[in-house]
Amino acid sequence: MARALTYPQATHLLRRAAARGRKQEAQQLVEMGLEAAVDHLLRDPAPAPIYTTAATRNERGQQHREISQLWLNHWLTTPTPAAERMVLFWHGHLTSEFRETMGAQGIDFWNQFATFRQLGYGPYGELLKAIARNPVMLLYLNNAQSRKEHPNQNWARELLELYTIGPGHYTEQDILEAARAFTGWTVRLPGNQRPREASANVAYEFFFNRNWHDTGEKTFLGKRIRSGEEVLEILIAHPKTYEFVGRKLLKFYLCPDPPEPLVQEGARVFRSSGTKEFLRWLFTHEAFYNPEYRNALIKSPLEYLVGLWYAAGVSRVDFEERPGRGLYQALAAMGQIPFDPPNVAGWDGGLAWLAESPFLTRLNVLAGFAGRERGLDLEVFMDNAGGALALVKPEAQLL
Amino acid sequence: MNRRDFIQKSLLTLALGQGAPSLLSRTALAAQSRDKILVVINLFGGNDQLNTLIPYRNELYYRLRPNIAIKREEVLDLGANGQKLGFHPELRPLMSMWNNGELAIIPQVGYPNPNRSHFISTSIWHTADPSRRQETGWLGRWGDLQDDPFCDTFLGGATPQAQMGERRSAPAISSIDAFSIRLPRQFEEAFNKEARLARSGTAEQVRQAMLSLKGALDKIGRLREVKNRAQYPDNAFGRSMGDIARMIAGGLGSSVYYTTLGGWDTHAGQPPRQAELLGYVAQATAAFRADMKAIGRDRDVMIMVFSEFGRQVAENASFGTDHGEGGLMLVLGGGVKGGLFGSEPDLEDLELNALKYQTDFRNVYATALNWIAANPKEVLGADFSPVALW
Repeated sequence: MARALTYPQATHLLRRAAARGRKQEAQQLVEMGLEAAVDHLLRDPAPAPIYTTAATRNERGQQHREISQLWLNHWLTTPTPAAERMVLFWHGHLTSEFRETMGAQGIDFWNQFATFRQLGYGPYGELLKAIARNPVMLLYLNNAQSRKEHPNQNWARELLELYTIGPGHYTEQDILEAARAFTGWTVRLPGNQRPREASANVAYEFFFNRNWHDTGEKTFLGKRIRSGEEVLEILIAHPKTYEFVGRKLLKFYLCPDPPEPLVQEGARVFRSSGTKEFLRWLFTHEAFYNPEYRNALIKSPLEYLVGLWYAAGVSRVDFEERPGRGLYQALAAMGQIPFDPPNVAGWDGGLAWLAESPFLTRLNVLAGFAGRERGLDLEVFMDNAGGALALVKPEAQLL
Repeated sequence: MNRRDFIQKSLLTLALGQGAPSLLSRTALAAQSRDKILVVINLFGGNDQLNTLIPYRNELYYRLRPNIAIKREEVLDLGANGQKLGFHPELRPLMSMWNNGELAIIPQVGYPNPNRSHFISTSIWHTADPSRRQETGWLGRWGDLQDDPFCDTFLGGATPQAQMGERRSAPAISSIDAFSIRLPRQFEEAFNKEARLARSGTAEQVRQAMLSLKGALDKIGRLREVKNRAQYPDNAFGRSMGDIARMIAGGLGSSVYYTTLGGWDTHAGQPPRQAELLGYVAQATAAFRADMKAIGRDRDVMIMVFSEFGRQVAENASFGTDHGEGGLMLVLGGGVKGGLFGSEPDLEDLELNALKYQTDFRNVYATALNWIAANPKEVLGADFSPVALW
């Protein structure tokens, strides 16, 4: 028998899953019942628009604004907004920084997001394997330049520390050995075009440079291996990977400090069935609707703005024109520029979002919503909503 | 408002009453607090010591770094007191401080059982606890003992762990000029009303953040009229250093100011990147000291520069260096006793290609805590031997 979903539960579910919603959508979820509502939210991602640019390869600032705008507008209009919050999760986990990845173009970052969208709901191992060959990642963590003579350790270190098993389960020697195994994993432009001559619409592709690869035997986490693929297989088979990444998922979808039994249970689902099943497990779990977890998270700036715009019926923002340009700067001041996390560990989140200066920016953004009371539907955006003045309540900051 | 605040505010009003938007005049400042001030600059990413403080008479240095070593003829010679070491050319603005004995160079700083993760090592420096049991920051623990919510201030968007205490954390101010509320009156009134209504759970934490923000708006708003005289690098870090000078000049009253400059994680293409960043540090600190001199506070302010680790000795294949261990600290100011506190690194005695640490960073913290009249043992949990920097 289908389980019921109350209206307050539906607003909580919609806010957490998609960071975007209006009253009517919450009511539709209630009519569906819990399981069907969750199925509905977790439908396969609608494709994002194709990105092309008139900018040159050197005009990266413009490309960055273009893909940021394209993504936010997609999040505002897509029939599958939960997929875009999932993309945000992977972007904050398998990080790449636009400003630090000089060679990479807007198209390369847009393609990385397409990978998150395409594989993000599936088994984590598949996503990890794709990201290990993703040109933006190879450029960002310098593996693209790693050669057997002097392997670059950056990717190998973060792969272990941040992307899979987490600190405490490997040694410095394991990092060195993994770095050797990934030598030669690099990028090129199709047809060996030279970056100086190529259009900004030409994306990098993965390339295995045999001459740079260290073919010798390595010992990684106690096993004898040779290739980068074997490093990935060991990490994908490692239970700590699922505990570490699964805990991060719970922090993103449930509460800042998830209880250990849920972490363990979640890690098992995540390992055996992938991210979509993990989310289905969580969203249909009784604990998810526990009052203790309602409003337990703080909206990130992107979630705040997407939620707010959507509540106001805005379906398109334009960063090149006023007032959109100001909103792009506001995202920076609030501490969350799309495609550009502050460092390789992603965004800290939580109360750090509400330090004095970023919190002030969140409030100042509201000036744009004064006098737009009509058409402002805050039912899903926040609890205790009323008119526009409710936006200054603490609840407006909560997810 | 306490008495000290009141006096400062009155003086500030007097000084600003003349309408001249320049740094405060000496007369106003003469009566201002003579308290000592600590400015901490966190170079996030791991600054490479060997290309900052260069062992340019050591052949081995050039052999281990065939592509990225700083050329001998470009190195700034530190003279007899610098032993056989020299500065990166972009640090030229610091040379007069070195020559005047106002710049302390402390090489190979670290802690037992070094960790090469950015995040773990940064956390160790911030909590001052290599055993990683502490969750509060070293300055946060000091701040817990103070009454003034502005006893320390962070210049940036999110307060670092170093300034997180049990009871409070430092206010985070990205920019004095941008720090004003621009809402229709109704919204502002509603905000003030909501801030008075207690809640529970996360909503209550948000309300507390609203109260902190309200307090900060009052305090920072008064500083907008204070202007810098010196020229700072035109970037976020330069503006933060300029704002610290304005906060001090305007009598904000913090004993500690903290800011961050990132980008030091030079795994690839290190030389131009590090040069640019070192230039920012040198130019901004020189400008800052010029502003402090102009208001007669130069001898009261100690500037401490650190990074979570140094980098490995032999270069990698991408014209860069990977994460290392012992790193470089700089401490400078009009009241600082300069010199080289440590020795030339031994490039033949390495730990997995990294410099071994020689000085525990908590010894330098102890010096900094003494400077602001704090109790190092209370903050650091044990006795450390302060480095004699003043």
